[in-house]
Parts: sequence; structure tokens; C-alpha cells
Amino acid sequence: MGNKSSLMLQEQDIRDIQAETGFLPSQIERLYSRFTSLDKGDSGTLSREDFLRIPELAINPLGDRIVHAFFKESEDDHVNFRQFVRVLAHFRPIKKAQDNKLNAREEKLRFAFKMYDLDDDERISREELLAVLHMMVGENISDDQLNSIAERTILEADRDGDQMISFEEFCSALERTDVEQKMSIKFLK
Amino acid sequence: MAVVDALATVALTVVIPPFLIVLVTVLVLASLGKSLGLRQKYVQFLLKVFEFGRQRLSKNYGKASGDEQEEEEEEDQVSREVICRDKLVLRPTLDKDNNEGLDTHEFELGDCLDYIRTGMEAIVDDEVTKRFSAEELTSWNFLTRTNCQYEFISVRLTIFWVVGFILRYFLLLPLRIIILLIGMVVMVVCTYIVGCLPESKMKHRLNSSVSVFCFDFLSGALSLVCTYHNQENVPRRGICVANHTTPIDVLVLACDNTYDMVGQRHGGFLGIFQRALSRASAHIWFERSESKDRFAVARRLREHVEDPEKLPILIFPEGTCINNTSVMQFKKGTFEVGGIIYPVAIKYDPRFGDAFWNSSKESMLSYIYMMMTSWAIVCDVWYLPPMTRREGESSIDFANRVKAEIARQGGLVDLVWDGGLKRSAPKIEWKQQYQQEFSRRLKVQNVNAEKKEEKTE
Repeated sequence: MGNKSSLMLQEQDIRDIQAETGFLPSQIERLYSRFTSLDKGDSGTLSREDFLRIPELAINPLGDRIVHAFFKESEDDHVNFRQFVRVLAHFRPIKKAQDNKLNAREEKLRFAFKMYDLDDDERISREELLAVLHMMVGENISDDQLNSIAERTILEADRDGDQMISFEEFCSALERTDVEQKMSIKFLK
Repeated sequence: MAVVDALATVALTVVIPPFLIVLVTVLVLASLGKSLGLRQKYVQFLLKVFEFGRQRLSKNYGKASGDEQEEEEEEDQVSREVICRDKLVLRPTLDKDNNEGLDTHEFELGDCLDYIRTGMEAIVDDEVTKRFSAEELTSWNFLTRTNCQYEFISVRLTIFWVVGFILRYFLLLPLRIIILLIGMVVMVVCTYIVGCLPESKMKHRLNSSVSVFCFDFLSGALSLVCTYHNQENVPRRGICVANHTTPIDVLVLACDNTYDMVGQRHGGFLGIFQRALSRASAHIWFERSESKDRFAVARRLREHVEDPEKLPILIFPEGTCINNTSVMQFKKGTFEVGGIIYPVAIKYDPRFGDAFWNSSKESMLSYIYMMMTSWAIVCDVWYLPPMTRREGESSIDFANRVKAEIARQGGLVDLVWDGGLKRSAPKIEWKQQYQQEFSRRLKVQNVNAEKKEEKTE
């Protein structure tokens, strides 16, 4: 009952997706199988409820932000398979031989940046940082303390003095972090 | 009129006698089928056919993608895993060993990366959602329902499939339906007769033999081939717990031993069996709404367990059907009652037919139809040594201990997650515990903002 994959995925689609994302055809087929099993309504697209039906994602403090990352590109609040794979492609491990623009270090950093940038204005403001901190800690830390953490973080990262973190400032702040390893998923062949 | 007469004569002389012969043969075979070993031979034959199909498939796959000889051998152990997860995986209960050595650090922008990655990993492959759909097979078993990408690869495979289709739908299915109908009638009649007798030791013995006979007969309707291991541990009293995949679990266990059952009261098809069985012996059926009153059910359980005359109770502590690749959380209610627990592990062989019942997707009748058009139901049952609660062990820990034993024996994944997630959302407390853990790792300034600015300057 859960195995009706691949019937609707054409050879040409697989080749296009491979060219765009760098996934192997076998990986694309497995991802398609996963996509259809999440698609409870058999509509060919995923809604936010389809994602949040995954218990591990629902209990993740940043679950809502992660789901939102898929819906950025779509207009009608539904994610089709191409968009689904395109977002997942950011998490492919970086291999020197395979040069692909989607999983480069900068793209991974941009994905992480978008987790914080709630209003998509290319800047992380103090309120946005506070909101994300609040998601991470729940009720366990007081607002005053969270405020001071947010202010200190912005103070350390801010270079041009606009009290907000731009993408370049974000990248320099994460210079010493092993982004490649932390933002990569080990896809099996 | 003459025409009608002629037709009637034809019908009576030509059609009915062979039909009767077939019917009698079927009845005899069904009741003796197991001892003649017919089903086992059938299953062995099917295994050979599947093996042939698998080799053909890997050969054809090799041709299609132009792989070399070595890769063909790798195909034999095709893993169904999409990703490899070896770091943070979120679960309902936090790993306790993380509490020691909690060194706090100042918040950095990179702290969220682990949560982002584990969230994405969960989207690609999580531990829970795949337990509520049919297990994926590594090779085709000639049923269209498991056909994922094999389509029409070679003529020989297609012929096999067509022959199998005809066999299953036009020979096996009618036979099985007949056996099922006769079996139901036999069961209702026999349990009624037993129920009319007064309470006595003879009634109990009669109930046992009638019950085993009826279930054995019904198992012919599904071509059930069951191997029972470690029969020295067969439960004679106390509580028997097993992992739950389908209502057929009951059939499987009741073919070998007699139990009193506990479960949700169903209407319709299952309800017929429940009512029939209740006439002959003291089963406990309850309403889900009533089960919220745990004391009432627990009380009835305790009364039953403490009565040495009564049969062992059969309970499925998961509370719902799981797809037989894993064992999910055992509800602690059963383990609070006390007494001896006899764990039983049931593992179905998915090559012959997928036994899992997804009650939110299929109705009972369509499920039975799927079962009767599969090749067979083949399973292994392991009776495990009895277990009791240790001194100072909580019922939750005891439940987890029993669950681990069953999972280990059946080769199933032992999960902490609750099977109720099939229908309901996870509890908010589980997210909150991760928020708590993250907070504990953060070095938080206890001074107010002014003093903090003095320090950074």
C-alpha cells in the first residue's frame, strides 16, 4: 500500500532533477517514494500538515521554521516534488569532484540564515533573533535574559553598526563553525 | 416449461454432484490441511518461485543500468535506508546520560544548526511514520500491490504474475471464502452449544478443544502457516502479551492455545466473533471510551488473573496495529495488574502477503479481501520465558523490559514512540523537554543589562 512510487516520475524528470541538484537517480526515486508516502491526500503536493505529521519534526523546537523553508518558493502553500528535492539538495554533503551550486557552503549558510530571518528582508533584527531564541528555549529562560543574549550576539556580529545582522556578517560569525558537516545529511546510494 | 425442466435436470445432475465433491474435499482438506503438510509444501514451492523471480529481476536491472557483475551481487542486499543518522535524533524521552557533564556555553548563531539538520533528516526518513504503512520488500513477490518499479521487465515474470493472479483470484479466493463462511457458522454453533452447558471442568475442556478446532479451521481460509517455537513456555495462566500487527494475531495464537481475550469491542464482522466467543468463555471486551476509566478494566483484569480456574488472558499492550517492523510503546496498564507475564513475539513473513491492518485506511472487509488474495500468511511465533515485575521496578520500566525482550526475539526495532501517533499528534511535553535541555546548556547572565554592558566595554 505504501509502494506506489516511481509510476509518476518520468525519466526526463529524473534527469532534470539530477542535473539541478546532483542527487543520483536511485536517491531521487527513494526521495520520491518518501514524498508520496508523506502525501496523505494523494494530491501530488505536500501541505504544512503533511510535514508536521512527522512526530520527530513536530517535537523539534525549530520545526515550524524548517517547514517554512519549503514553502518560501511556492505560491499556493503547497510543495511539489521539484521544490521538495531542491530544498533537500542544500543538505547534500560537499564533495570536491561534484560541483553543484545548491549544496555549496554559501548555500548552506544562506539556508541557516533564512531560519533566523523571519520577514525575509535579508537582515536579522533583534526581534527576529529573540523570536528564534524563544522557540529554542521555550519558557525556561526569562525574557530579560533572552534579551541580553540577543543583544550580545548582535553586538558581536554586527560590523556596519546597523544593529542588525546581514548575510555577510552572519557568514563571518560562522567562519569557525564546521558548517559543511553540521548542515549535511549522509544520503546513502 | 420443458426447457426449464431440462435446465433443472442438467443443473441437478451435472453441476451439483461435482460441487458437492469439491465442497467435501475442501472441508476435509481444511480441517486436516495442516497435518497433511499441504500448506507447508505450498509455501516451500512459493519460496522457490520468489527466488527465481528475484534472480531474474537483478539480472534485468543489471542489464538496464549497464552495471558490472559485482554490483549485481550488491543488489541482493539492497538496503531500504535513504540516509544514515548517527547524531542527534529527537525522541519522546531524552537520553538520560546527556545530563552529566553539561558544560554551559554562550549562545552562538551556529547553535541551531544541529536542530535544523535533524529536522531535515526527519523529513527524509523518520522512525515513526513508516511503521504505519506496509513493510517494503527487497524483492518482488508477484503481487501488484507491492509492485513499485518492476512493471513489466521480462516476459517470463509477466507470465508468472498472470498465472499467479489466476491462481489467487479464481482458485484460492473462492475456496477461502467457502471455508471462511463454513468456519464462521461452525464457530457460532459450537460456541453456542458450549455456552449452554453449566459451569464445570468439562465445559472448560470442551471450550478449549472447540476453540482450537474452530480457529484451526478458520486458518485454512487464509492459508496460515505458523511455526511455534519454544512451546515449553506456552502460557497456562496469567497474562500473555504480544506485539500487534493485525487481528489475525488472535487467530495465530488461538490455533495453538486457548486464551481469554481483552480488547476493544467491535461491531460488524469482528463483532460476530466477539459475541460468539463470549458465549463460551469469559472474555473482556470494552469500549475505548470506557477504557479511559482504567480502574474498571484493571479491576476486571485483576479478578480474572487471580482466579486460578480461568484461562490466560491475551493482551496487546501497544493498543493499535503496527506494521511488524517494530514494537512501539507498551501501555503500562497491563503491567500494573501484577501476576506473571508471558511475552510472545509474532513475526510475519512479508513475502507471502502483507498482514498489517491499517485501520484508518482500510475497512475490515477490504482487509480480509486483501488477505484472502495474498499467497499465504506465514508467521513465526516465539513463546518467551515468563517475566514478573522486580522489586522496586516501576510498571513503565517493566513494560519496557518486556518490550525489549519481544523486540529482540522477533528481530523488530524497539521504539519508545507511542503507537497512538498513528492518529494523534505528539504531546507538547516532548518538545518542551528539548527546549529545557537547550536552555540548560546556555550560559545565561544573571546580572541585568546595565552591568553586562559595563563588562563588554
